[in-house]
Amino acid sequence: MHSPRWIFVVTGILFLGITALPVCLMFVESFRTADGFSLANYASLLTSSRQRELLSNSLVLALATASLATLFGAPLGFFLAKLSLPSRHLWRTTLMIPLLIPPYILGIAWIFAGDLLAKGLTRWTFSLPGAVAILSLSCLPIPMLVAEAALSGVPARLEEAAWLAAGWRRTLVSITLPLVLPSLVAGFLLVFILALAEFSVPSLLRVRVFATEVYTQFAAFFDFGSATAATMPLLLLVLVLSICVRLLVGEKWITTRRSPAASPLLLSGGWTVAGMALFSVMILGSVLPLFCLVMKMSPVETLIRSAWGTRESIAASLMLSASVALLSVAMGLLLGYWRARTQARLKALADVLWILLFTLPGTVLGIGLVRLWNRPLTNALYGTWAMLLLGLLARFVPIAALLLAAGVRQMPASLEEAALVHGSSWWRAFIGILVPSMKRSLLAVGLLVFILAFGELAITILLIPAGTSTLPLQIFTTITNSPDEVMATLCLLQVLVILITLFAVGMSVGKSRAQLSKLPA
Amino acid sequence: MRNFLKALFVLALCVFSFSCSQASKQENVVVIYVSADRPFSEPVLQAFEKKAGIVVKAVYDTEETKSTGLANRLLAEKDNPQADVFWSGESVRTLILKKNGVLTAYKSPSAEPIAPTFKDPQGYWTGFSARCRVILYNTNLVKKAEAPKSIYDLTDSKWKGKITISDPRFGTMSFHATALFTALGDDKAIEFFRKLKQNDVKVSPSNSDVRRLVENGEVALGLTDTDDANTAIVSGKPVALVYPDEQGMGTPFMPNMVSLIAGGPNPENGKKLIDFLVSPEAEEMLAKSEAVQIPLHPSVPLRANVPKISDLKPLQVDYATVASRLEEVIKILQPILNL
Amino acid sequence: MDALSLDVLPGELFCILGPSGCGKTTLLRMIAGLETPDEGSIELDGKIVVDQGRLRLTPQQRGIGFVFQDLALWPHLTVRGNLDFVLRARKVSRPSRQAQIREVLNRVHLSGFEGAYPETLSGGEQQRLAIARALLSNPPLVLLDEPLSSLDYRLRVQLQQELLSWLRELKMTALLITHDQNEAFAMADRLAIMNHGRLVQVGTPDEIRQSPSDPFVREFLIGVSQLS
Repeated sequence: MHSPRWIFVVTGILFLGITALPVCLMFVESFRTADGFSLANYASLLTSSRQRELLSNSLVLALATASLATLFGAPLGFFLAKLSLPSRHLWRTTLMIPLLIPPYILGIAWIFAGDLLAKGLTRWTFSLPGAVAILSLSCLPIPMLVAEAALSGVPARLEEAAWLAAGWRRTLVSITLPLVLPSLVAGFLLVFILALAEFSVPSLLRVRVFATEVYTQFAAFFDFGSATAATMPLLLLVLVLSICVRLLVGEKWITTRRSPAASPLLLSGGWTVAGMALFSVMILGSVLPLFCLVMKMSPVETLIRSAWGTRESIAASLMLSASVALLSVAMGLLLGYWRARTQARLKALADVLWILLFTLPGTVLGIGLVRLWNRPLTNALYGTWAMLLLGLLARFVPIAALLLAAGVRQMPASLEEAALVHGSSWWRAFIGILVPSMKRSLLAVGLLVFILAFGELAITILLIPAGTSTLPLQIFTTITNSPDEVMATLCLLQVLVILITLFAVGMSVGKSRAQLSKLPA
Repeated sequence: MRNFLKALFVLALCVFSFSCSQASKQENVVVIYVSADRPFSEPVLQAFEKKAGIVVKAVYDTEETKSTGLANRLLAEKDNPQADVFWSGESVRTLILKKNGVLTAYKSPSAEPIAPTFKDPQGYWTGFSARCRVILYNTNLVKKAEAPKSIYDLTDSKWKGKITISDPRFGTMSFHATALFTALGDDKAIEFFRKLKQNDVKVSPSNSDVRRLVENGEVALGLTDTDDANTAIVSGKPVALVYPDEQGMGTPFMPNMVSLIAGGPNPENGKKLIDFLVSPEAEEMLAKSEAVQIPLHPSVPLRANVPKISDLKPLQVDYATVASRLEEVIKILQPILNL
Repeated sequence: MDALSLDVLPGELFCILGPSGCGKTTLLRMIAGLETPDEGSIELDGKIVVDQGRLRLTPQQRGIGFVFQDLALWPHLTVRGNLDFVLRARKVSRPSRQAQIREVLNRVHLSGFEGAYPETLSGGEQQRLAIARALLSNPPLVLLDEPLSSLDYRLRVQLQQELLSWLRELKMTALLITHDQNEAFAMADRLAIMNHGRLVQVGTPDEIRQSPSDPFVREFLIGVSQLS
């Protein structure tokens, strides 16, 4: 690497200070009881027979969700990448709706739907398969986006030859699939982690998993030590899976040295019909819960009134999420770049650290941050928005780093090297060559973090400055004893706010791309 | 694209420097953590703001949170407290915080008329505006004559599979369950819950889910709080409520509890806020609200459907004992109810 | 790579010929500063740039031009942008930049393509752009990594001639690596045959043709057409 080493050292230290330090604090505490060092918290984990049930439920839930989401999401991404669509980003944003609805609301909406459609459906929802179905739907957009990004990076010439010679079936299986497999696996892992760490849906549907156990320890017993210890099975599970994934897929990324802007092979004719049909089915499936929410709603006027009433929270959420997204992308890019280009032997350790940090329930991280930063010394920082921002960064930078490391790996190093050799400083090459070439990845990761940060509750409730609120928090503290109509209105409001933001971003990105192509010859 | 990002970044930076500067400049403030429903608590706090001219900075939470509550935040912040007052919708959290040394004593003069059972003898908490545990029933499925009078009616086999309670590991049900253990003794309480299980009781995640199930007619009877019950009644659903065991052991009362945080940043303002919250004025607001919370001051004028405290028979409990036994009771109930 | 020693004279076109994997790309990258040899030293224009495994001069300080095998054209920049980036990095003033860009595009017959994006250019045009970029601001040394390997025969021959003429006109020193013996023998002033990280033989094309020092070299000569 020909880069100034210091920038990575600084970023690394900052990152570890924000994330690893508070987490270590919590784990150190989990090894202590009132009498000093003890493994009591962990011992109780091993001896309980509940653990076996928790393990099997958690594993089944996470694996099934990841599989279903990938199974249905990948074809959607396939069509999104390969059909020549006039307004692709509109389709993409609409198909992303399930991701924008907080999962437990999706659960409640489907329970309503069960009411409307068939009584029997409701009973089935309150079970493990029900939880799987709802979480899969919620996470579907993730494999979809990942598949789309990967497929649109496959240049046409790679597939054309095979298509002509061997037909579309062989091409898909032997050419296309291996090229995008690493990305699909990454998407699978991401959904697995999200499903494993998801608390609200299993709790709502009364399915016992590790995540609900951790929550119980906190909320019912107020025992920080055993709550932290209770996260251990979760983390171990993810660790094992990551290692398996690593062994299977390794670092086999796309090896063709192609210009990243090469356009993919597009389909037409019968393919368009099939693709459109699939889109419609999925949109219906994702809009149905919204529809159910709306059915329960008071007229549009209520929506506008609630929007006005919560305007401060909306503004706060937007600003906060946007800042978190931007900073996460920046920090994640630096960390990801280091990971992708470094020769250091501990680079695989970085992947593991990031995955584990992302899996850790926000509560543990949040309490660790409070313990660490709530001191007279740091009073200027603690209790302000900056602290909450730090907390959310701690939560989301790991996933940004993981995804962007993959993105950087897909960029041929020769692009940067060409800049360096021809006289450019490393910084200039980074900002002027690498970043613009990675626009799509950066935007995708930024939007993902924006959506996740917007709906975040656990860390928000622990670090938010008194006297302020974010939209999800306000919705949360208002809906518990409100009529269902109010709840539906507010949930719809949150979805709309995010949707509008995404559309706006999509449009401005599209516009700038159009402007670029109009440069005088 | 670059310009859009740059603009956004600069904007974000401005907002943050602005809010950072704001945080340290407030003069007359009080910080309160509220673990009670926002639609009911917020107006009361706003009334205090207007009356006393002190800015109230609140962080809200609900007792049935789907994330970690403010009690955990207070515990975590113990070494450098950020809050002045803690308002809890139920007693258990307050008492756990007392046990962990997060609170400090303050006996408010406004609370003089309130009965001693609803106040901490050392002054660490003061109760006000109580809710009750009630039986909510669906009027389409249950005729007036058959209406339950006691919680034991839920173990009646004629209601098999048609009863619900909320998860006794959280919220007010956890209080109710533990109160039963202390009031009836372990054996009788265990038997009650066993009978519930035999009667195919549905365990709902929260009180509002209990309300929903009763509203929709999926169950006939449910145990919930007065505010949930009232929400359903006011929106015209086919339900009615009963204050259980009036002739027997008594109805469990769950007062709101307010406490002063030890070492908080604005203790004097905190005391003023507490004085207001336990006053008849605040209780009247809460009684008139949809929460229909029962005032503990005998003098507060009432609406038609709100009973006077002198009309009801509260279940005799020592809130401190209940709080200390909570964890143990939850562990006992977990296998019985298959939680 | 094995131990080797090499001198390139100013103004000459030196070719390194060898099969894939023999280490020629690595050698080129070391000269450019993209990789560091474990031992030994490299001197450019009398200045020591690498010594005993330590970089004395960073890649950007060496002022070298490089044509990459995959061309490494920056896709988000136009033809003009690709050239401008290099000149700005070298701190060339604005009027001078415009003049240099115009001049080099003229030389490689790409005038008029200034606003086009690399992906819209044909293979040959892309190649010429990559070469143009390397030739900018008269570097003391131009490195070329299999620059013509992706072109068809006719284009390759044509571009060989053109490349030669450009280098001669600008009196540039160039180091070109290839696995194509015809190309090497046609273009080089001197060349070296490389195998397994070692230089097997160094000399002018005639010298090597007349007295191959090694059966390996002889094998290479078999493919060389006599028409050079």
